[in-house]
Amino acid sequence: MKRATRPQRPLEWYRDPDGRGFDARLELLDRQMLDPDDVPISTVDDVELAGVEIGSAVDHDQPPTVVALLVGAAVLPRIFGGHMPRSRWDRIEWRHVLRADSVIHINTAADDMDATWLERWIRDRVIAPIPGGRHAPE
Amino acid sequence: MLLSELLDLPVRGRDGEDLGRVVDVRFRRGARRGEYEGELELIALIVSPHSRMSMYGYERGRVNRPAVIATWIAWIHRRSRVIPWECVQRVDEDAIALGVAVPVIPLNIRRSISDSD
Amino acid sequence: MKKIFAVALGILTAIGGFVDIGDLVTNAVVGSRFGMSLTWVVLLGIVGICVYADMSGRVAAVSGRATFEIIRERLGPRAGLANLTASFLINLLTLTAEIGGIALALQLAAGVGPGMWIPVALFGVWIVVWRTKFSIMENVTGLVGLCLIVFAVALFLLNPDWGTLGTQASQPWTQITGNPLSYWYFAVALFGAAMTPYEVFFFSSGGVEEGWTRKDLGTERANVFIGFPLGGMLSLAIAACAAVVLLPKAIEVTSLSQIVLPVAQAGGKLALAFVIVGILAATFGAALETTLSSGYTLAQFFGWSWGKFRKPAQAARFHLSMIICLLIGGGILATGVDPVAVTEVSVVFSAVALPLTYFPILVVANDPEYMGDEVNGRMRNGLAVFFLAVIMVAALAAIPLMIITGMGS
Repeated sequence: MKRATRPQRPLEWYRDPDGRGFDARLELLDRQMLDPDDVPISTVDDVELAGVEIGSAVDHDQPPTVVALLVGAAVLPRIFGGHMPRSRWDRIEWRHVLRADSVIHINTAADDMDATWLERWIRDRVIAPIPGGRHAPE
Repeated sequence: MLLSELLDLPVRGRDGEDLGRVVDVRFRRGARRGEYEGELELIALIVSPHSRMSMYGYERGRVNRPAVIATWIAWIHRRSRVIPWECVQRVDEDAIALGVAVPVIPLNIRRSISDSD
Repeated sequence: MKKIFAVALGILTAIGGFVDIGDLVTNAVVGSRFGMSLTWVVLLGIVGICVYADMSGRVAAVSGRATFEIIRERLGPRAGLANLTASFLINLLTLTAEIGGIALALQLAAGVGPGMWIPVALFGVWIVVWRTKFSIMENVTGLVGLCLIVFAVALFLLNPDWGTLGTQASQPWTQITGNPLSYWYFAVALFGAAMTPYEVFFFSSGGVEEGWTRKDLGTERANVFIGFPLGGMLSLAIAACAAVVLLPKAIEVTSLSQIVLPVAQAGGKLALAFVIVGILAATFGAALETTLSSGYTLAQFFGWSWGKFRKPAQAARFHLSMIICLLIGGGILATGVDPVAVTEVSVVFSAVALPLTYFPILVVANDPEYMGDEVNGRMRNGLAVFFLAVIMVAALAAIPLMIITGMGS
């Protein structure tokens, strides 16, 4: 377990880490996620980090990393406060991210992800039964 | 832990002094893994003593127009700084505690870094 | 040749689509009470909406993103949600007013209603949103809306004293009788009617719907800088007709009948037919736009799949939320509330909501990450900041004026 230390790197590096800086709130949180066909999946409602926990000392052996993006109800605690239990998280793992630029590109089709169940439910239960729901507009 | 749990947390220095609140978390993008994005490693916290408002990208040096708005936001975030993650000792539900004395690294890249606290 | 045709179509559609029930009612009310003395507000509103529609259209064309997606990214969910809620509710109010407008137009045509026309209007709007292609929808309602040019024709047929109209416009203070605060209340209302927020949402989302790219910037600019001002001229024509016919007789505008009276007087039954068709097209088009805007704002904020270019099955939550909005709008009207009153309230609240929409657009239009080298130039920024200040003043003054003057009475 490695304790807190003075910065090990040149101070300027923390402002510009090899040109690879990425500020999560500015560039990741609340960004649109698209699937390979550019179909919107959701916005990034929260980000799951590994390597740091509330209520414990930080182990500086390894830096914390982003492991997953949360969607769905995860936006509610950000607006109203409170915590959502882990079992309710709708997660999209970071390993599915192809590219993070002005939108986040995910490698899985929107329909194939557990996290997008609500869209499918409304589609199957409400929209598709209405005549014309499955047809392209003309 | 969730990013939202880190954001807005107060940051306390080694002697308990209030340094501000976390307004953003800075990562370093690791090398790409083939077609996929590389790992994001947490390297620093962006802390502002004055405001929790979103900064709209102005203070990162990318957007600086219109001048009126840029000046206003710069004033709101006038002493925002970058705190290296290595200096953080523990994260509690109500605050982040630093373990060492930390140099002042102004967020605005147009300001130079001095070595005094 | 085809390009010229497309540009012309866009311009004509912009003209015909500019006027909605808010513009109709507010301009007629203003004309009947203050003559042309609020012309400067209409002109100010036209320039304002041109500046901002151009910005949001440019953002859509260059970045491929629509307004509300970016609002959440830039403001975060808490402020973004506050923005969404306010914009959405006011949009819903405007939607209700437009559906009411359709019912009123049908009442004018058929002589009965308007209550019975509400389900007809709801169904009509829904079926078009459900099944019709975006471009067809826009083009048809826009072109038919050009029938409103009959207001300008009527104005000439009425042979007004142009000198009087001109004096009213250029020396507004001569026309203020009664409470001066009422004048300013109507100034704010007129400004809100000209710069309605949904126009901007719709314009930018429409740009994404139609797949605009940088190549379409020229078309987008033509639509905005030629189409919108000409559409604004129609607003002035409505006010002028009211100024010429209603003002001298102190006729108060309480329903569509008074609004079309000048046209009927000038051109008889034929002109009346044109104006009814025009109003029907304008309100129907505006109802479509506000319905879609409510879908756009919700879907873009939450990151749902959206767009008329997708099958309803591929944008399920988008379509469901629009159906719910239509039902709510219909429900409000079913309580028997006067659609004209709803309209008057909606324009004032539109003025209140303007800063919420326009500030983020201004920020995004300056952000090289989204805009590349198409960021705002200095002049555009200067204009935009000026209008932001005007918008803030109007927004802050709107509700106090509404309360103090009792909605301008």
